[in-house]
Amino acid sequence: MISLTLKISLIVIFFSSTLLLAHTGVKNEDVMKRMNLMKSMAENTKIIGDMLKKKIPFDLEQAKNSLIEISNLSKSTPSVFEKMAMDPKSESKIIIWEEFDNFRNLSNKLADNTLSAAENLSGFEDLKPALMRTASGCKECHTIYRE
Amino acid sequence: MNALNFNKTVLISFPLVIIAIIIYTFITQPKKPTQIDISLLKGNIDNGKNVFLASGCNSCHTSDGSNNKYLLSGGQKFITNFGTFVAPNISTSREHGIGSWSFSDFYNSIKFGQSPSGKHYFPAYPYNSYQHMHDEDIYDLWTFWKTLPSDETPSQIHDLFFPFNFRRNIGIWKTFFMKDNYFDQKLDRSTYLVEALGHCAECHTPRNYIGSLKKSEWMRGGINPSGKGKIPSIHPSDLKWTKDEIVEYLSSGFTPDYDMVGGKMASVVENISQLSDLDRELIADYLLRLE
Repeated sequence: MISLTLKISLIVIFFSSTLLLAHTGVKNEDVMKRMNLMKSMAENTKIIGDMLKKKIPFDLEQAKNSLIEISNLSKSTPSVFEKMAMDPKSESKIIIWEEFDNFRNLSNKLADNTLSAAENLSGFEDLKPALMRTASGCKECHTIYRE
Repeated sequence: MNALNFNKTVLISFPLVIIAIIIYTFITQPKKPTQIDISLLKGNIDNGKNVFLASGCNSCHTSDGSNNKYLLSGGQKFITNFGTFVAPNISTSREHGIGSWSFSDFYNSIKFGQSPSGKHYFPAYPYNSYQHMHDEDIYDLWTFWKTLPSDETPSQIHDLFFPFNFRRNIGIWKTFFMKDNYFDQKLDRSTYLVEALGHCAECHTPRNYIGSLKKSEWMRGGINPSGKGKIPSIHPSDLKWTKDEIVEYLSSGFTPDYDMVGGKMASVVENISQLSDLDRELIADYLLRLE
C-alpha cells in the first residue's frame, strides 16, 4: 500500500514538474494562457503530422477533430491576445497590438482554412494539403508577430 | 615640470605618436578595390537565385512586414551593444540602392566588406561569412540581383555609439578578426552552405565584447540581433534533433513538437525551403557533425 501511494505521489510530482518546466519562469497569467493555447495548437498539428509520417495510424475522425480543434483555437486566439500582457519569456511582438485587426484577420483566416480542410478531408491523401494549409497559416502569423 | 623636462617629454612622445598614427593608418586602410575579370563567368540566374535564397539577403534587407521578398528596400533595425544598425536599401535603385554599382563594387562589398568609395562596412553585414563565397556564385548572384525590383526609399543612418560609429576603426576589427578560414575543416558543400552562404554562425554563435564570434562556443546560441531574447543553440548536444527533424524544420518550419518557426528565422526557413532537398540534408549533416 505504501509503495502504491509512493508511486502515485511520484507520478503526480513528475507530471506537475513537467507542466511547470514547460513554461519555466512565466509569471504573467495572461501570457501563460496564450502559451497554453499555442501549445494546444501544436499538439493537434502534431497528430496530423505524425499520421502523415505514419508514426501513428491514420484515423479520419481523429484527423478531422484535430483540424476542427485547430480551427477553434485559432478563432479564440484574438480574445486571448486582446490584453497587451507581457512577460520576459513572452515571444509576442508589440506589433500585435499595434495592428490588432490584421492579427485578428490572420487568426480568422487560419480558422477558416483549417475548418475547410477538415470538411474536405476524406482520406490519407488529403492530409498533406491540410497540414500545408495549417503550416502556411501558422507561419504567416509567426513571421510578423513572433520574436 | 620644468621647461627642460617638458621638452624631453615632447621629444620622446612625438615620434611615438607619429609611429602610432602610421600603424593606425596602415591597419585601418581599406583594401585597394579588386577589379574582377568577368570574361570567363557566364552568369546563371537560376543559381543566382539559389545563392540569394541560401544567403538570406532578403531576411535583413526587406522592410518590416513586407510581402515582397525581393524588394530590398531596407529599414529593418538591429539593436546591439554598439548601437542600432539599420539595414540599407540594396535594391536596384540607382539613387537609393545599389543600381549604379559595377560588378567589381558588388564583389568588393561581399568579399572585403568595402563600399565602392573605399569605406569599411560595419560587420553587422555578414561579409565575414560571405568572404568565402565562390566567385562564380557572386557573379550568378549579381546576375540575379539585376532582375530584382527597384525601390526609392532612402537608406537610414545607423545610430551607433562612439567609437563604433567611426568606420575607419572597422579596419582594426578586420585586421584581427576577418580571417579567411572556415571553422569546419571538411570544407565540403555542407561547410559552404552553413558557414559561407547561410552565415548561420553570425546569429547562432555568441560574440565577445568587440563583436567577434566565440569559436569555442560555435553555434551554441547568441544574442538576438532584433534586440529581445536569445538565439537558440543549434549545436547537436543542445538541439538533440535528428537529421529528418532538421530537414523537416528547414522545409516546413515545424519543430519536432510542431511548434512553428517565427521571427527572423521564419524568413530563413522560407528561403531554405526553396533550395533542393539535398542542400537541406547537407545543412543537417553539418549541424550533426559539430563536436
